[in-house]
Amino acid sequence: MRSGFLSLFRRSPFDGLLKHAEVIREVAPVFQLAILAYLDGNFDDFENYHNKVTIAESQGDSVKRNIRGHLPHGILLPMDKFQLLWYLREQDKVLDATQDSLHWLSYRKTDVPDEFVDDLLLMVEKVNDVLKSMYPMVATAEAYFKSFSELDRESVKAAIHQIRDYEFQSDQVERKLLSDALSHGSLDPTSVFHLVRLVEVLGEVSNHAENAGDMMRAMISR
Amino acid sequence: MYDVILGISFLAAIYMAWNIGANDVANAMASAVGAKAITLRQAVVIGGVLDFAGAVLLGSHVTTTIRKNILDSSLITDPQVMMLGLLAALLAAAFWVFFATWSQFPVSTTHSIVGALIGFGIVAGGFGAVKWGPVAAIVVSWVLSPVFAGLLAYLTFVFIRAAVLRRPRAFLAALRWSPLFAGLAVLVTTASLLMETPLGTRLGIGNRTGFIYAVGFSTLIGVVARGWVSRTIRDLEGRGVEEMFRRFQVFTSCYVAFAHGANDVANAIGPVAGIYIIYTTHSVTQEAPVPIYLLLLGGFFIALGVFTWGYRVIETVGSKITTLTNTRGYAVDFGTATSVLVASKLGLPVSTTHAAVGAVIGVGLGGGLAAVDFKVVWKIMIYWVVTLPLSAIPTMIIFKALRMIFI
Repeated sequence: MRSGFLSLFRRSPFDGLLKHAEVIREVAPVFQLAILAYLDGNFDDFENYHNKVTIAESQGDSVKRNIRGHLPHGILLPMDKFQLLWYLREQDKVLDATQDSLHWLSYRKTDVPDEFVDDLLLMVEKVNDVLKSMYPMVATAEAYFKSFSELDRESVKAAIHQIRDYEFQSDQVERKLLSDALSHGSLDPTSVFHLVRLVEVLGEVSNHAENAGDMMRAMISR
Repeated sequence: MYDVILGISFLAAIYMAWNIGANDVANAMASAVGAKAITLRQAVVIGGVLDFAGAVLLGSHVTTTIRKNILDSSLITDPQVMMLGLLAALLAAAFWVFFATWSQFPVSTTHSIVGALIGFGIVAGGFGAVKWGPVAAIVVSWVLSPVFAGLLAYLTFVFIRAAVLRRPRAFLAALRWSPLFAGLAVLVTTASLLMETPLGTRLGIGNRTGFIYAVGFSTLIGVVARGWVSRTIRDLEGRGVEEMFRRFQVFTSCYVAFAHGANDVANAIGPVAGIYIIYTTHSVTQEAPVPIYLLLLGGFFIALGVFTWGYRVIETVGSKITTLTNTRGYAVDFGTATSVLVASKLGLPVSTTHAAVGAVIGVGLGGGLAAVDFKVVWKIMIYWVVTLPLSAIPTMIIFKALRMIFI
């Protein structure tokens, strides 16, 4: 069939973005279970969950490469291609930072003092909220670029706002944890360093999610 | 000898017409099927019937151009040479179209037949036998028609987005503008039918009266369409707007099929009309009009092409275009059909497929499509350029062979 017409239509980058966000969403409970297993001292379980997250991150990387590979020169998109690629980079860094946090934990078996556990679990919960809120943002954005409806645009903005809220809350807990760890009297310096770095990497997850949200906000701007 | 040439030319023309129906209609109708505006069966009926109507009612403009405005008959006075040359052009174009279909090249039947006629003109009467002025106008129209289609589709989509989609109550905004969306396609079709056509002359309608009638009729259809959608669509939020444009795409699908018939019938019938006139008058005359039954024949075989093979191509192309929503499909159809119909009214043979490509690019530039490959434009331009020599050179060879056999 000789149809120059058909070859015009390329696959939507949102198919890949949604698949990538789906990977992040599926990683969220596994990540939480991994931290819980570590805090409980179940290092076999921790390694098991850690491996699952590593496999998921590798799947996410493959989806990311696939999206980039299908955006050659000369493709017309409803948004700036540069913005889309930047967004993708930030969304992927969310997954990378999640994996990095578990990698970092796996390097040492630190006995986390009881007084840190609640705050650390709160921070993990906030990061978990952030991970779960990426997919709704991408899904509503996909709907917006199909409908251009103001209602859908408001939904995307609400999803971005939600991520910013979680990032703010995670930031608050992060600062408290850092302050507590550095001013703790009896903790050995290696453990302090291990915990501080862990908290920083966990903070990175939320920071990249917020950056992705900011880029999405630029993509839907009128 | 005249009978044999006429017989072969009819067979070649029938093949061309069948091929136009079988393959080209898909490019015009697939966006509506892809956007699920019409079913495959409706697409086949609309494609067949409206293509036939367009070919019969408006096809003579372009047919006359292909028959008269490419070759200078004062330099090719021998009726036998002219008949053989037109036959050679038709055979070469049919062969090229067959080759393109087999090898999946995105080439245009219009460009093939024009290239073939130029080839015959050069070999039979030298470069002077080709009317380069009108040919240049035709070639310019090949560039302008996709650009015009693209601009129109872009403006249509940007207007729909600003006036409807981005409004807080999008469905009500769409309802407000619905007479315009439904009526515009009807306006251009009716104006084309009534202004400067045998139908308009027979009804004693001048251009101004024809335009007034067209505006009146399209306004009536627009108002009726508004009543229809406001009564039958209840989904005020969500999919209501797309559902409304899904209905309007029924109008634009008819419009596209009609414009396609008006433009493309000439590719099959143009040379055979020339041969038929030489057969009846035994002289190379420029004056005789295109017999209506030749247009009927061309229209019939285009419709037959749609019914016998076109439905499979429409189904395949339509099933692969999944990113076109109804608002975008409407803009693409409107841009394509208006561009092709305006070109047909001016007697310019343009490529429907290229106009459709231009319209999709237009909507893509307006940000309406998830991902459009602009590089296809370059690919199409390359095939467009190679089509001219690759249909002209075989014409020269076939013409030499036919001359050795018949003269």
